[in-house]
Parts: sequence; structure tokens; C-alpha cells
Amino acid sequence: MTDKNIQTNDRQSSNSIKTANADEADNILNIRNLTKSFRVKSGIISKNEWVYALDNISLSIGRGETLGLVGESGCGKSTLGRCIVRLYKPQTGELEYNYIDDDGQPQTADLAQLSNKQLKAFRADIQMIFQDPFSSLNPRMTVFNLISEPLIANKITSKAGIAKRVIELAEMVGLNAQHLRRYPHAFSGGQRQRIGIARALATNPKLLVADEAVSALDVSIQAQILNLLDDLKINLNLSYLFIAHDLSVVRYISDRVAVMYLGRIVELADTDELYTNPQHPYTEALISAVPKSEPDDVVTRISLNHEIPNPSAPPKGCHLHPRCQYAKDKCKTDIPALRETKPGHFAACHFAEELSLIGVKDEE
Amino acid sequence: MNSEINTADSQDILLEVKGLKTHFLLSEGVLKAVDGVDFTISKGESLGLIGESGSGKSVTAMSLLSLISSPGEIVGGSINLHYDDEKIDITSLNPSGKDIRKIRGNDLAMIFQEPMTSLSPVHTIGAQLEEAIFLHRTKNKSEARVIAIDMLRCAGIANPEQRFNAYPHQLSGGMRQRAMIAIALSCQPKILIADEPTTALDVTIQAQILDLIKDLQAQFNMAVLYITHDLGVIAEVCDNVAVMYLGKIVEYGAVREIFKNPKHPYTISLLKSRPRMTKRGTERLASIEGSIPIPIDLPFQCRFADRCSEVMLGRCDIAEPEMSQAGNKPGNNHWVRCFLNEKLD
Repeated sequence: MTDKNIQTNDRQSSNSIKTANADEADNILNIRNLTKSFRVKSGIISKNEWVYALDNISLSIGRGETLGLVGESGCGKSTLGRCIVRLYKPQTGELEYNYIDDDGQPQTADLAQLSNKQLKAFRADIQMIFQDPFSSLNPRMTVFNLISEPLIANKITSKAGIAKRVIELAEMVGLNAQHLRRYPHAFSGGQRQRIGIARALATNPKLLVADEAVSALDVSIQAQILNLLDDLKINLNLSYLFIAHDLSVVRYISDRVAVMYLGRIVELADTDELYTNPQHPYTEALISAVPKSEPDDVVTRISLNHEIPNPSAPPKGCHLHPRCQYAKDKCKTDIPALRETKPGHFAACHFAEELSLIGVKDEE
Repeated sequence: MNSEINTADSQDILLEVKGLKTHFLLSEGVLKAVDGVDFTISKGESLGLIGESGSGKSVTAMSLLSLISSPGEIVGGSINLHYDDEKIDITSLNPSGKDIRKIRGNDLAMIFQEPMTSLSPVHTIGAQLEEAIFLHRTKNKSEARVIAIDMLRCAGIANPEQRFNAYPHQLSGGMRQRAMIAIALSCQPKILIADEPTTALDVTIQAQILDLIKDLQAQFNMAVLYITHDLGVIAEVCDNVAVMYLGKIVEYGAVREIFKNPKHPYTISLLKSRPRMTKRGTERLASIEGSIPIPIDLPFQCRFADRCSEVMLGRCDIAEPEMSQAGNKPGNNHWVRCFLNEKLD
């Protein structure tokens, strides 16, 4: 674990946007100006095209916080999750991870710049829960082997202690000892997701990235898993980045929510504030598109024109302007910065203060 | 048994399903995916069939079109398609015969969840549209093209003349679903079966597609059977809803009634277990313990008994409840399959 001391914090954070009220050193993760682009090969003669999956993203995740991340498919939300667990290496920007070292001293490391070897010490701290419990578990391994694999790979438990720890983890996620000898195919979707969660928890992580962790599940099973994630967060003192496209699930589980559109964060606020009082036209449209929860609810539907544009050739200025009903000339040329429009509420819209947008009306 | 479940005069009935049983003969035993389903669909009605995965809702839909392949088989019941002067029982037709092919696409059309896998990748959208039109509407090539382009326009596809020559991979997910709707509606079916039509789509596109189906339903005076696991979709577009669990309908009624006054413990927990857009996430979600079993060798008892919080031992575990009317109000078309409801009477 001493490897963790390779980088200490001597950075100036003047150019970064403050995205949380709390002192930045208290956050478990500060993301600053993160950029990740992918090359789309378009032929032998023609030039390479680049897709900016993440375009200068700045965001913080507080300790013990659940940060929800929503957006349409292709907006880059999964790419952000994968950069955080460093399945992808971002081109530029910082992933400032704050942790307590073995001596009890607060330390900081920039995960974005570490090599794979240096990252080894941090892999255990940041883990991921995947969407599809059918394709993310090896069908040829028993549940016992699946859960013990991260323990062995990260040398976390002594050989003798593995069995005890696996049973402990299984019970933590609501599986019992009999399940451990079976193979994944013998389980339902909800139980498989529990296995995936046990695997993620095996290394005693501090931060979990849940990428559409409940999207593949039926609503009654989804409720079981959401409750489980809630309990684990409190019992194990975890922080979550909860990536989802289902706005009602995000409302339920998140403390704060970030909305992404074409590689940029367009709005960020406390959950209740964001839902009841959106400040960005995209958030308004997303909220209004959700099917009503009762037949008698009245929903004003604000539709976006057209579909999400080709991400390799996004519109200039504000990416949303061709679809936005409030767009003016300025939107076509100037990129709006993510700025604090109210205390704790950030929006990337030139006209955030002038627009009066419709959010959800909370029921009593 | 409960053929009284009618929403309208028998004249308006388009489709009448009675005691439908579709079983799969597996080496492990007989899997009773659909085990006695009754419902009717009337002209212009939107009926929602809701249930978790494994409840048999998709198999019900496939049975309506007689698209069940071995080892599955429709082993009982009837599916009567009403015409002006006659009824045709779909279960009595040869599943690969001429008669059923006249009905598929023409009277009963279907759209599927994943438009990428249900459209042919090697044919243009136009060719796939024309195929249905040639089969059922006209043999004239230029006329078929006009109808096809018109349908694409109806389905909200911009530049339909260009899209006519596009292949499915050249379209976005929402566009593909629109193309599939255009194909399904090209022969102006009486009933459209929409099997999870928006599950694979983003929420903004989902809203557009649901609005589109609603508009076209009014325009063509068509009935729609929505099959979904999303209660929001039901609340949004359906008139009536049937809740399915383990191969049987456990509750049926008008959407408002079911959402406001659910009677079956399964429906009640299903409604409680969903996170809500309009609610702060302070309360813990109600969840249903366990998961849906595989319908092989089920004991003779209420199918929900093992997961039910209201289970009455000595009652629910020794017999299977029948459909009974909820409430005493005459004309209240709300039915529930639960001993609790019978007890109150």
C-alpha cells in the first residue's frame, strides 16, 4: 500500500470549477477538466474523425454521497464511469482521489496520470457494478470462485481467510452459503446482480461506480437491489457514482444529480432542486419525457426537436441549440460554461436565469 | 369461467381470448408459460398487459399470431378474431398455412422491442415495407411505393423518399422503431400488438414513439395491445390493464381503477415498488420478496402465495383462486384473482 504515496498534492486548483460546497479535500474524488476522445476510423484516405466522449468534465463526488449521472445513450456517461475506474485512460484532466493512508494521514493521488502498475494500489478502492448480470459473470466459475477472485487477485485475504470472507460477502448481499457452489446460470437476474455487487465489495472499496446497475431488472427486483445498495452505503460508508438513464430511479437514490449531454455536464444540483426546479432546457425536456406515474397526472411534454446529433460532428456553440426551443443566436456560436446560477445549482445555459422552466411537482 | 370480462358490447369486440394455454414440452417437464388467459380487445381500445419477465406476457402475444414454435404448443383455449359476419379461431388454423398468413400483418400486426434485430439488415426499409404491402394490399409496384413512402411520413420519418432506400443500420434507434411501426401499420391492421415497443429507447424518444402510436391509433381507429413491464407506459397510454403473473391474469380493470384501487397483493406491491419521479427518495421502497419461479410442476395453490405478504395459510396454499369481481358496484369492470377479495363478499 506504500505505492500510494507516489503523488502528493501540489497542484493549484485555480482553473477548476468548484462544484461542491464542501472543501474539495473532503471529497472522495475531484474530477477536473477531464477529456476523453475516441478515434473513429473512417477509411484509408479520409481523415480520422474524433468523438469527444468527455469534453472538459469537472465534477466532484463527496464522501458518503451518491451522485446520479443521467443522459441519453451516447452522451458519455458510461465513458466517464470507465475513466474513473481507469478502464480508459483519459487524454487530459485530473482524477484527484483523496484517501487516508495506512498511517491515518490524508493523501491525494491523480489517478488520471498513473501507469497501470502504479494504479494497482488503487484498483481495490474504486470498483464497478455492471449493467448486465448475464454477461458480466463468467459462466464457468462457481459463485464462490467469482467472489473470491478479486480477493485473490488483490491479495486482500490470506488463503485461510478466503472462505470466511466469501461467506461474509455473500450474506452481506443477501445470498446464502448454499448458493456458493452453484454456477451463475442457476440464478435469476436479481440474484446475479447480487453476485456482481458482492464481487465489487470484496476489495473493501470506498467508491463504487454503478453503471446502469438496475436497468436490466424487473421493477420489484429493482426495488430489492436499490434497497440493498442503500443499506450497503450506510453500513460500509461507501460513495456511489450512479449512472442510469431512468430518472425515477436516480431521483430515489441520489443526493445530487449531474445531467450530461454530448460529452458535457449541462446541469448539476441537489436531487430535489434539480427535479423540481431545473435550470437547463435539456433537463426540463428529459424530466417531461418520463411517462407519468399515475393515469391522472398532468404532464406538460416539452419535446426536443430531432434526435441526438452525430457525436463526431456535434453542433457548434451550445450542443443543444438545434433541438432547443429557447435557442437564440448566441447559442449557435458561444459555448455556455457550467456556472453557478444559484448556490449549489450549476447550469450550462446562457439564459438559465431568464428561462422559467418546468420541473416535476412533488406529491404530498 | 370469466367470459363476462367485457368492456363493451359484443359488437365492438375485435378479439376474444378464452382459456388460452401455451405450454412448452421440455425435458425437465411441462413449462406452463401461459396457463388459462382470458381477455377481450374492442375497437379502438388500448389494453395493457403488464407483468415481470417470466410472467408469460410475450408468449401470450406470440400465441395471438400463432407464432409459437416447437417445443411450444397452444394446448387449449381459443383466440377468436371477430369480423363483421364471422369469427375465426386462430388456434384452429395451421400455424404455417395460408389462412393465418392472411391474418398476420393484415388484421393483426406486431412491433417488437429491438428494432435492430427484428428488421432485416440486408434489405432496405423500403423493400421491407413493400413486402407487406405486396402481400396484402396491392400488386402494383409504383402504387406500393407511394403507399410505403406515405406510411414512412405517417410514422414521422423526415425525408421519407430518401429513407426508403436506407438500410436499418443507417438509422438511429428511434428511426428504426418508426420504420417498424410504418411496416406494421402499412396494411392498416385492426389490432397492433406492441411488445415492449419503447424499452430499448431513450426516454425522450420513448415519449415521441408513444405519442406516435397514440396518434396513429386514432387516425386508423385501431386497437393496441401494449405488452410491457413499465407501469409508466401503462399509465400513459392504456385504457384498460391486465396484470399477469405466472401464466395467468391476476387482475383486470380500467387503468385509473387499477392504479387508484388495486386489489391483488401482487398489483399492490408492484405499484409500491417503483421509484417515483414526483417523490423525494426518503422512504424505503417496498419490494417483493424472492423472484418469479419457473412454471414447471407448480403446486396446486395460488401462484403468488409463496411471495405474498397477505397469504392465508390453509386457504391460499390448498386451492387456486378464480377471477371474481372486485367491489359490489354493478358495472364495475374490475376483476381480481385472490381469495382475499372473495372473503370480503
